[in-house]
Amino acid sequence: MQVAGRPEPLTFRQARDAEAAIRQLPDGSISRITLYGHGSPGMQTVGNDAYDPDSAAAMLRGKMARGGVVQFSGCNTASIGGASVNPAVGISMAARRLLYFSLPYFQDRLDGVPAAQAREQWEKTWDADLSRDTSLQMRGTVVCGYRTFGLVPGRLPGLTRLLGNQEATTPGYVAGKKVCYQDGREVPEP
Amino acid sequence: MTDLGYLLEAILLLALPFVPIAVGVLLRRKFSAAPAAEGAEAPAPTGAQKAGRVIGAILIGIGAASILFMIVVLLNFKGYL
Repeated sequence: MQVAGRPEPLTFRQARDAEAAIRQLPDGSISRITLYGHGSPGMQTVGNDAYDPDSAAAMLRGKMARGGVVQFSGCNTASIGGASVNPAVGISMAARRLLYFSLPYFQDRLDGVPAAQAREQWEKTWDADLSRDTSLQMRGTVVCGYRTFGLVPGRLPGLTRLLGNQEATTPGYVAGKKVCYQDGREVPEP
Repeated sequence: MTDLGYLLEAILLLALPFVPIAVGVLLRRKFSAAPAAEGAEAPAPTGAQKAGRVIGAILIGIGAASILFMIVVLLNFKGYL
């Protein structure tokens, strides 16, 4: 988190610690915050906690500076968007549809859930847009996320062992297709 | 869509990475060097043959990387990675 009046960014491993710190901050003092962890359609994890649009907006509402940036650094924290000629984006779209629609749909069907119910549930979920929905609840704030799965060099199993790291805990480079929204409309990345 | 429709959709999505592999293999076969006549040296490959084989190799690599990516994503999703 980059906060007005503090030269060094604030960093937290656990969401609860970050939330407690955010509550203490003056309104409009956060210029940029990055939530770093696993993501899935409509959700971003941080430590042992998870945020959806409502909880993310509730935590940050009022604390973001005008034009401040919220970055969800997790996979699939935005919708897949339009068609792309990039084969990596295409494969990510296919994998997302398979993992977040096909797999749970057939699991539900095998559990006896009616087709219409399963279809409605998972069609609504697989392409959920955490970033856009959060931006709709935080007027003036730019909210960014990833339309694709993200490859994080700091989390590659062999590489982490080679470098002697544990999991990557500091937000760094994420290979993925980023998108930013402000008030629900797509905007250039700040 | 019915269950059958969604099943066909899933099969097509799973088959997607194999498409560039198939095209790549076809290109490499089509543009393979002509066999040498008995006792003679094989003719040098033309520019078109080289380009075709390179493109074929690239497509095979893309397909293989796509399959690997989907396996990694699935293992990560299931908590094994």
